[in-house]
Amino acid sequence: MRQHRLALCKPHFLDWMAAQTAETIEKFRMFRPGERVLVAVSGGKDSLSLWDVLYRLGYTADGLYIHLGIQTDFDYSGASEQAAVDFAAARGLNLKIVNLRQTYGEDIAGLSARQHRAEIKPCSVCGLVKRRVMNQAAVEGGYAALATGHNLDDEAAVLLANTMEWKSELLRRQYPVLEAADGFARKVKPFCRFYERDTAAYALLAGIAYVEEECPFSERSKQLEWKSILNRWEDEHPGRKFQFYINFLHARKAGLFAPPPAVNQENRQRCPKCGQPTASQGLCAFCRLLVEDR
Amino acid sequence: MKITVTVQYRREEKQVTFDHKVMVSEALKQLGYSTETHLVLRGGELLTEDTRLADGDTIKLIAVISGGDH
Ligand code: SF4
Ligand SMILES: [Zn+2]
Repeated sequence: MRQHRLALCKPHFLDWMAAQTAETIEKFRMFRPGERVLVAVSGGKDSLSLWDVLYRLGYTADGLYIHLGIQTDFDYSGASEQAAVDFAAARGLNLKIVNLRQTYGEDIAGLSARQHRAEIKPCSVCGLVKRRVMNQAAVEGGYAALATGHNLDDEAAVLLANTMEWKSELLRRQYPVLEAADGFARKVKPFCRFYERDTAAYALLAGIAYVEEECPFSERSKQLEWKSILNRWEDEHPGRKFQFYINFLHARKAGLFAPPPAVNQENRQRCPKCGQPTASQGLCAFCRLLVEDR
Repeated sequence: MKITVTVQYRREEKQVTFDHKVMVSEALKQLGYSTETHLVLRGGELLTEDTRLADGDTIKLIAVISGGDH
């Protein structure tokens, strides 16, 4: 796979990315033509490229942008929303926007300040909020699947982290498709076999105006550390990153890990406030976040 | 022949001199950037790793790796 990359000329590269994506979608039975898919778009290269590829392939794909209210000297969330809005308008696509402050009265900074822990980074709260908002939008919108722009580098970094820490539960769950379960949307990652470099090249070649700036909180993230280890390895031995992840999928298929339970056993209760699945009785983690006192 | 190239990266710009008409991959290496994590544009056009740079070129480096703990 690696050798194809940028040696191809522009139209061939764009076609190659589209064909490979279609193959991944079919191989992992992610969704079928005609089914409605919701793409989680951040305004970055991966998710906008994914949306573009699905659009070119003729899939029925709507977008979801979550305005997190992240702003430093640069209005990261505002710029990202604008990129998503412009992208959708240029192609006549549907974009649903959930603005945290307008919908829930708080942005990410406000929500993480509600947690009594002295955390510097809002990432854990942010992750919880995004997963919850995405799931709800996909379930309520009746979509066949929720698609995210995770690429090979993302997946390999998560795999490396989970392996180094032997997070067996997470390893069992890591797969390009997560089946729908009671209250949970089906989740798919059609870009999981693409190098991050290729998704960036796609965005540039397809003329997608994505937001180049990173979320200010991504600096010094663990994810970036794992990625840099993998990339040093890849520099020395081209193709290693791909092998690491793909061989894991093979090993998983061959039964190295027990399959995850069909029904998510931990999340069998429903939150009395929002109706989303939750592990414990009473309010779900998201609703608790909203009512917690400062 | 020595060549001088203008390198733009993250809103900064600098002049870099190379000993000869280097390929993109060599230029990145000399600048200390990995080809795995950076793409190179010239005049808005994406360059392959084996493209040779010429004297007076302006290139823009794009970091491709993103990631927060999300
Ligand atoms: S880096 Fe952290 S705060 Fe920023 S979008 Fe990702 S999870 Fe949210
Ligand atoms: Zn709830």
